[in-house]
Amino acid sequence: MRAGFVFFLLLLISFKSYSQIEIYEDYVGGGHSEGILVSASSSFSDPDWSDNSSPEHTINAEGLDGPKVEAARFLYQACLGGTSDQIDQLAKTLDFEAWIDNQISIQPTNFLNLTRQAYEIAHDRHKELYGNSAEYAYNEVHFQYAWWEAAMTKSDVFRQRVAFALSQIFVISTDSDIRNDGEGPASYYDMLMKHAFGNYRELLEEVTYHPSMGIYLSHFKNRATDEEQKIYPDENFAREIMQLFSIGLFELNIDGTLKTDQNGNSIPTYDAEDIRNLAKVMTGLGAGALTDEAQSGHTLGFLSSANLLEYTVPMVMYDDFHEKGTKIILGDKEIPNGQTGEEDVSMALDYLFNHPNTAPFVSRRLIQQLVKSNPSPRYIEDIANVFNHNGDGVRGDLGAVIKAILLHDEARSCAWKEEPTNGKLKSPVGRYLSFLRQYIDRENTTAYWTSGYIFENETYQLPLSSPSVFNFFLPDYQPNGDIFNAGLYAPEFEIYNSVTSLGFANQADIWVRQARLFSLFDLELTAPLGGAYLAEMAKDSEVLVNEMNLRLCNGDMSEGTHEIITSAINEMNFGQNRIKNKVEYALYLTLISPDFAIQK
Amino acid sequence: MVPPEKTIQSRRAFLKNSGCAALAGTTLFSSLINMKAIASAALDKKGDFNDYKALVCILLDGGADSHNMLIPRGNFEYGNYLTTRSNLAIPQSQVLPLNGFASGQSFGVHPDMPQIQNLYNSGRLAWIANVGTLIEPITKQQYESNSGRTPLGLFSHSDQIKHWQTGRPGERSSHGWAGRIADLIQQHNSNPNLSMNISLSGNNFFQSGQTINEFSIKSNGEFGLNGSETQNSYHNLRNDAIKSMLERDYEDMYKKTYVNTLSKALDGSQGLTQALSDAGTFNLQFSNTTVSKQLEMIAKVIAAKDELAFNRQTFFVKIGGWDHHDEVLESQQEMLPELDLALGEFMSALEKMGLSEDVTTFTISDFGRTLTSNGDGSDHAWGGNTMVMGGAVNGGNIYGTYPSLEMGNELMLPRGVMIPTTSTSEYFAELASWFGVGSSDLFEIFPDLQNFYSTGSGLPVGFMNLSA
Repeated sequence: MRAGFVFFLLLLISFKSYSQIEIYEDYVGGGHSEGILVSASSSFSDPDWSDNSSPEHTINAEGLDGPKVEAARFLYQACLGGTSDQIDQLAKTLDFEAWIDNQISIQPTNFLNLTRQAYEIAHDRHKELYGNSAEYAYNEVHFQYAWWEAAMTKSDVFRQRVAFALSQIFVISTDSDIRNDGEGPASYYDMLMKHAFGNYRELLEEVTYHPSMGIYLSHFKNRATDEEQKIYPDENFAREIMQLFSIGLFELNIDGTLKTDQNGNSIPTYDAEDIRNLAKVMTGLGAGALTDEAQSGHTLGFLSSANLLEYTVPMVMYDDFHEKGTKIILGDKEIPNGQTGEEDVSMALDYLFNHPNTAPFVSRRLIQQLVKSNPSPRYIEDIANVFNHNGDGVRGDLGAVIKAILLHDEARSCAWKEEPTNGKLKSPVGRYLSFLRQYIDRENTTAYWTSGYIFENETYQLPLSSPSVFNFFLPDYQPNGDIFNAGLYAPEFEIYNSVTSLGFANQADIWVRQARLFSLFDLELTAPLGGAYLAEMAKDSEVLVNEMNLRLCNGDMSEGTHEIITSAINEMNFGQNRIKNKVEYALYLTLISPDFAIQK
Repeated sequence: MVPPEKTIQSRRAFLKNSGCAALAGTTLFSSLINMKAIASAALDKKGDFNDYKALVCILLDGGADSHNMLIPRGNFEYGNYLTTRSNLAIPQSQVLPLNGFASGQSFGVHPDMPQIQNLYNSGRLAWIANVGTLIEPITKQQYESNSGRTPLGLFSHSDQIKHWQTGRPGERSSHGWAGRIADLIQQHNSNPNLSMNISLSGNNFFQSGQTINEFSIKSNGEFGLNGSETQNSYHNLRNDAIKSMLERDYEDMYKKTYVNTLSKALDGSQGLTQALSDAGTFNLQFSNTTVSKQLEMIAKVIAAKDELAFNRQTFFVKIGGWDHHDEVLESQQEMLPELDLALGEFMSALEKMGLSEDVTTFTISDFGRTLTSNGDGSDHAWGGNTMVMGGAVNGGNIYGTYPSLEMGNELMLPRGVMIPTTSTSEYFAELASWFGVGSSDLFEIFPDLQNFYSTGSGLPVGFMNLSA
């Protein structure tokens, strides 16, 4: 069955002995087949099946999947998995830059509108099912509905992917004091969407002023020192904006490695005094607007309380409550006396933006989210240089940064796949989404909604639901064993354990075997398993598994896994539902395989 | 959408990019990854344990404001507390009194901790005052002049929460002290399929050793893979395929790590399900709250200790949401009753099982919080107060040194940050001693312990009764 493969390799090698012949290094069957006559041993005969592949197709690339594999791999990095159509489409050109440019030009999905619509529709649906008397609350579930609907139906998948990455760096969580109606998270998400390809400095400013962040990290209504009452500015946001959103704890070289002092120790970027001073800067921010209901009977002001706050309008500075006086941050950066609160904040953000750590710090996090857990120092440096200078004299151009991350040799070149440090565990949300995009039955799905409660319980992940500002997992998490021993990192493994490994497998069982892709029990909506075309493929186990290898594993399924799944479903050659069962068990086994879980 | 036409490719196995194929083998896994030798340290107390002991670690995640959990009650000391805490102070009349005196002072607990008050007053619970991460004893003067060694990443959640689980504040270690103990003694436990370290809250540093990982379970008792017990021809083929997939050797370290965890999860959950079922009905009553359910699950696993064949176990529970920069008073009012009730129920259950002397429960948290207010919350600080509960605890006492809360005193840094007077090394070493770790291993596990304690001077702090 694999005789053809050996033959082509020999062919390639024989080319190399003639220096006048151009040597192709992309892949076997890359279309450079003019004048070559081939034959192959494709005479497998299943009575139910006729194999359409011809040797010609194999060598002119139509019968091979090199380009599709490349496209699938890119699309997983860039949007957590393309649909079959998207993979096939991109495979025709493999013009990743054009794909990126096109995606950047798409108008961003509006999560606030989508959340409100989801609430209205779900509310009506609930009334229809349970009558007027039944209570129906507007809550963060409707943001989840919007998130999954956008992921499944909107075309700006790349921007959504970057926003999801940013939401795991500039973390807020609905598992908090943020008012529980879906609009705070939705509005925050729109802000991340807006700046996904914008400028980091503007993003940092909007994060700072966003009411969801104000509540989440408690600088909303943070006020100047009252020495007499012994009340001091809240240090929460001041600390985390430095530790997690911009510069990190220790001084970094441009390539992300730690700087050390003469004793070989790492050098802290700030101390407790810096925190106290930045906390003073972050005083005076209060409600920018009150909710419609709150507007009658309440006057907007610094003292307006959190439950009256309109989450979709940025906080504003109330200078009367802003701490006066000079503040020194980052050791020697002065924020002079006499400025307005806004000027103080702006200056502090400038200092953080221009700190030499920010580029490598942010670059490493974005690479870890999109491409790999252990980028080489050169990769980080290349991206950090783009962060510092996009080629047009602009610092902090996230569009340029993201593009450089995905087009970088280390993300694109196949050679890097063979590097042992290369790869990452796909996040649970990523694995789920890539499966949904391939195999949901779109014609019979009535809503792309899930509360995600069960998924979160089983996998420890759901958008905007992390347990703390430290996200679902830390960038420096080291699972025991080979990864720890090699001094390497694997963030996603922090939420991978005996509960979540089996939890994801059990979710796959529900999606595939019980054909329930979303949990929509209360609204009685459907989202069944699709992939009817798989039934045809299931007549030949190898074809079926090849399909799943391409669509789910980006072509990275090992021979061993391929063999295990293929022989298992080969043997399922009994019973009336054998074809259906073959498809379902092949999918299930693929979904729990390491070849699907690990992104190379 | 279903693809418009069925795109049937060759039945030939996938050819990946041949550029990739050609490069395969040019970089050898073994040449890049230098496996560190895992030192096999010897346990002082050789031989199998013939008794059972369990440690239950409760992490109050986020840095609990423990200065409002244990409160000075005497007029003078309360006066200092009130002035310093300002609008965060609990009214003196509401503080639930603890019996007796500690260092000549009287204390009480937060009004929402009646069970803890009762456990303390009946000698089953002790407080450790002003405990925190320290490398060596340090004065305010030394701290301010940078002349003493201080824990890495002071006041940072991610660093301090790690140190509180590793007991090694001078380094950034990923291996916790229960994990290190498990490295030493897992071999003396006779269950090969399950880690002696069980977590109700997923991965954690505390239970992660160099060779031992935590085993995570859910508090609802649902473990295992759906369909792994189903007997039908399809499922048998499926389960065989899973088994083959898990038994393969993976060169790729990510795949290997993924498969190892899944494999252990499968074995462990089967063993645990069987043991819990063999152990019979568990009738002890716990409330229907998250924390009570978690502690109930721990009690159930402890009840199955003979079936599981464990002599030593640790348990880990993380209770989230204690990072009260905001609304600390309201939040503690909501959260402490659940903790309080669960601890009371857990202690009663252990007593009914006749195991109260064999199980010691203790609290940890990222750090204490600032004594001064930031308006309606408190910020990250250093020393704080912890609880230890169990029949082997010299309860009804406050250990360590409860500091003066007067503003600006010789232990207080700006914003009301307390320099700890008892180190986490001493706190944990005492628990580890009770657990059976010999003295030379103690100094291995807690490298800074020597700066606070030397053998022959009794126990490091004194809250455990080793003859119990």
